Amino acid sequence: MKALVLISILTTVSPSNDTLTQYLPDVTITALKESVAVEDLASAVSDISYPELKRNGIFRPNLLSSVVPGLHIPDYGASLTSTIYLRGLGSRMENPVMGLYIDGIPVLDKNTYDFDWQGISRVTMLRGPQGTLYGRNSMGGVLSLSTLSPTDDARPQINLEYGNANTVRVGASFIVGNNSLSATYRHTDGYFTNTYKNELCDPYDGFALRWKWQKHTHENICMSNILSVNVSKEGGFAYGLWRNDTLKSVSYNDEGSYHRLSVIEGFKWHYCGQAVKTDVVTSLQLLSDDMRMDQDYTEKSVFTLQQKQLSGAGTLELTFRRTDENAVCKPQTGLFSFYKRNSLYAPVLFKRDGIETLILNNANSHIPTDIGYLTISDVTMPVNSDFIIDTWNTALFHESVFDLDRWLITAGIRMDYEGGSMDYDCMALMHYRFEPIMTQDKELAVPYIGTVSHHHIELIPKLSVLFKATDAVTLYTTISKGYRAGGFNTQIFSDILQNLTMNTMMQDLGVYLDRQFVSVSADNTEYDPEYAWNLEIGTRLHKGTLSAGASAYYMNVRNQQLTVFPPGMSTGRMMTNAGRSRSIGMETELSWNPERFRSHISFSWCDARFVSYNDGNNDYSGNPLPYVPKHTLQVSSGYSFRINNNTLDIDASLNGAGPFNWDETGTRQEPFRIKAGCRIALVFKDWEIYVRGDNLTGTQGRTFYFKSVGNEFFATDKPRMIMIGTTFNL
Amino acid sequence: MKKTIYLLLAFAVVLAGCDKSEKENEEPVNVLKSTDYSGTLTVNASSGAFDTENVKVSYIATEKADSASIIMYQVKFSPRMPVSLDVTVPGIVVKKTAKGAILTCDSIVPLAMGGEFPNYTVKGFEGEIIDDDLTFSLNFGSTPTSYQGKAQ
Repeated sequence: MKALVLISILTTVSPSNDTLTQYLPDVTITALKESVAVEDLASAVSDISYPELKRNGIFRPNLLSSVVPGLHIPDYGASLTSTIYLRGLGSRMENPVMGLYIDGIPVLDKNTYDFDWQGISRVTMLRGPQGTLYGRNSMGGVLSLSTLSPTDDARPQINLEYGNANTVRVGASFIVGNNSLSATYRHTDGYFTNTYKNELCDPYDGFALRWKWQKHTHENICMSNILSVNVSKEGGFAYGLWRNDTLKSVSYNDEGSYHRLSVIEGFKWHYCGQAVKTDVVTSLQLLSDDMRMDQDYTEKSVFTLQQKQLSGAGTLELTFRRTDENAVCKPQTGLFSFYKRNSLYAPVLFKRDGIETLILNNANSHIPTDIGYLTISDVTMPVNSDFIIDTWNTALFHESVFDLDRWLITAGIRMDYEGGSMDYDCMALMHYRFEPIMTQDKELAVPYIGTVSHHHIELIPKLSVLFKATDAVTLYTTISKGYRAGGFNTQIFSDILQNLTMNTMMQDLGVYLDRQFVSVSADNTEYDPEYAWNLEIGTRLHKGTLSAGASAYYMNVRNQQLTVFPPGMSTGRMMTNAGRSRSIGMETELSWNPERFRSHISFSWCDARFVSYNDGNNDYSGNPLPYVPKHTLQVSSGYSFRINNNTLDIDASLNGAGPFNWDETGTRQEPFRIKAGCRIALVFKDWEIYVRGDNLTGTQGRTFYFKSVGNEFFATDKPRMIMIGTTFNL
Repeated sequence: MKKTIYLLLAFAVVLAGCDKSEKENEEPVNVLKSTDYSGTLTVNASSGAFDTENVKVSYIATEKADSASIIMYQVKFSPRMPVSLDVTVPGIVVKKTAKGAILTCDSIVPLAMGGEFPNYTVKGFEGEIIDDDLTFSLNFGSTPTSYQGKAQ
C-alpha cells in the first residue's frame, strides 16, 4: 500500500496551498440543505475553512473537538469508536447525536465517522437540533464536509508529513476535467505499549480515497457523483487498569485489532426549472469491519469479543425548492428514505480464567459445599451471536423561510417514520459436571433464537426568527426538536446467554437456586428514541476582519440514552433510556484576522444534569451527565512574517476540555486539562515546509473510562507529537 | 308393560353397578399408573420440623407395575438451604391392595444433581396409595421426611 501511495504521489499533480478558500465567494457555499446562506441561519454555526484546518492540523473529524465550541470527540481506541458529545448529548455506543454529511451525502453508520481526509475545502457545523431538515441523529447538530470540487480553481497538491511514533502521512489532491480526486495514507507504529506483549498496541494504517465527478449535462441540469473509500487496519484499545487510585500501564494478553472497509457512493442530480428547483440525492453505503477485543483488558484469559459486520444501505432524498431566490417565501419540501441491513457476527469467547471467575465461582457461590460443586472442563466456552438488523426510515418534511427585509422567519415540520427489526440466533455450548455426584461431563447447548422489532413515528417541528439589526449584527432565536433513533442492544446478549446457560444447566441438574441468574431478555434489548427540545438565542457579528458569535441554549431531553453496565460480574453493556435530563449552556466564537495576524477563540460552558434518573438501585437525579465536558476551549493565534518573497507562518494553540464526570454518581471526575500545539511553516511560492507539534505540554489526561467485569480502565491522551512536513503546490 | 320396563331398567342398573365395582377391584384408580401428586412435604430437620406446601411428586410406575420411582421436585432439607433439588427415589417395591398399593424400600441411594446422592441414602421408606392420596415417610440420610399429597 505504501508503494502504491508513493507511486501515486510521484505521478500525480497536486492542489494549492490556500487557494481552496481563496476563491470562495462572499456568501459561503456549503453542502447544507438550508434555503438560505450560512450567514442567515438562525442557528449556531461554526464554519472552518481549509487554511484554518491546515494550521490546526485537523485531518480527522475528532480533531474538531473544542475547535467547534461544545464539541467533544475523545481521541482514543480504534476508529470504530466515534464517541461524540455535544451540548450534554451523546453516548459511547450506538446512534450518534450528530449527523455527518459529505458533500450533502448522509453518512449513516457511526462506525465510519472517524476517517482521515484530504481535499476538504470547508467544514461547517450546525449546532443544536437540526431534525426538521436532517431527521434522525441530528439532535446535537450536523457536521457538513465540503470536498474539493472540479469547479474549484485549485492547484494540484501533495503533502508529506513525518513524526514520532514513526508516523507518516501522505496525501494528494488534484482536478482533471470534471473530476477531482484526493487520497491520503497514514501510518503510525502506535503510541502505547502493551507491557504484557512488549509491543505497541495501537498501530494504524489507513487509506482514504475520494473521487468527485461533476458536470452540467444540460443548461438546467447538474449532476455529480461522489465516491468515498476508506480502508484501515488498526490495533486495539489502549486501556490501562485503574486500581488503588493509580493508572497501570496497558497490559492485556489477547488480540486487539480493528479492520474496516467503508465505501459510500453518492449521486446528486440537480434540475433548475423556471419555478422549482429539484434535487435528488441518492447513495449506496457499504461497511465491512471486524473488531477483536480482549474484553477484560487484563493479563488473564477471561474473555474476548469479536464484532464482525457487513452492512449495506441505500438512501434517497428528493427535495423541491422555489427557484426565485429573491421571493419573500422560500419553501422547501422533501422526501427522505433509507433502508439498511446489518449482518453482525458477535461471538464472545470465555477463556479458562473467565470460566473460573465469571461462571464457576458465581455458580458455586450459590451451592452449599456439602452438596457438591460445578466444574466445566472446556478450555474455552463460546457464546455465539448472529444478528440481522434491519432499519428503515421514511420522512416527509417541509420548511419555509419568509424573508421580510430585516426579518427572516423559518417554520418547518418533519414527520419521520422509522422501523427496525432484529433477528438473533445465539448459542452457548459447554461441557459441565456436578462433582462428586456426576462422574462424566455432560454437553449442554443452549440456543436462543427470536426476533424483536419496533416502530416509531416522530414529529419534528422548528420555528426560528432572525433579525438583522445592522449590516454587521444579527440576532436570532430558535425553538427546535431533534431525536436520536432507537435501536437494539446486541452487546448484552452474551450476558443473556451466560445467565440462560446457568439456569438451563441448573434445571438440567434439578437444582433450583433461591436467587436465579437474572438478566434482561431479548424483549428488553430494544431502546427507544431520545428526544430533545432546544430553546436558543444567539447573535453574530461580522465587521471587517472581526467576526464573533454567541449563543445560549436550554435543552430538555427525554428518554436520555445512556450506556450502563449491568450490576455485578456482568460482561455486557447496554443502552437504556435513562430518564430525563436538561442542558443549559453557552457557546462563543471570536475570530480576528487583520492582515497577517490571525486569532480565534472558541469557548463553551455546559451544565448537563439528570432531571430524573433512577437505575433501580440509586437515584441520580440532579447529578451531572457522565462524559460531558463542562467546558471546551480553543485559543489559537498566528502571524505571517514576510521574508523577501516568502512567508514565515507561526501559529500556536491551546486546546482543552473538562471537567468530566466518568459515571452517574458524579464522584469520579477528570479536571479541565489543556494541551498546547504549534505550527511553524516556511512558505515559498510553490511549496512549504513546516514543523507541527501536538500536545506539547505532554498532558497525560484520562480521555475515556471503561468498565469491564468490575474492573475500571482509562484511556489517556496521546503523548507529545512533533511532525515535520512539506506541501507542494504544482 | 310399564312394570316390565322398570324391571329391565333396574336390572340393567344393577348389572352396570356390578361391572364397575369389579373393575375397581381389578385395577384401582391411579395406583398402577404414573401419576403426579401435589401436597405437603414435612422435613424434621435438626433445627426443627418445617413444612413445604404444594410440593409436586411424580409416581413413575414400571411396566409391570410391581415397582416404581418417586420424584420429588424442588425440595429442601433445611429451611436455610439456598437451593432446592429434584430428588428421585428409585426401586420402590409396590404391593397392590384392594384400595391401592403399599410402597416400601430400604437403603436406596437417591438420584439428584445428575447422579447418585449417597449422603442422603433413603432408609425406612413406607408409603401408601389409597384412591387419589399418596402418603409416605422416609429418612433421607438422618433426616426424617414425610409427604401427603393428592393426585392432580
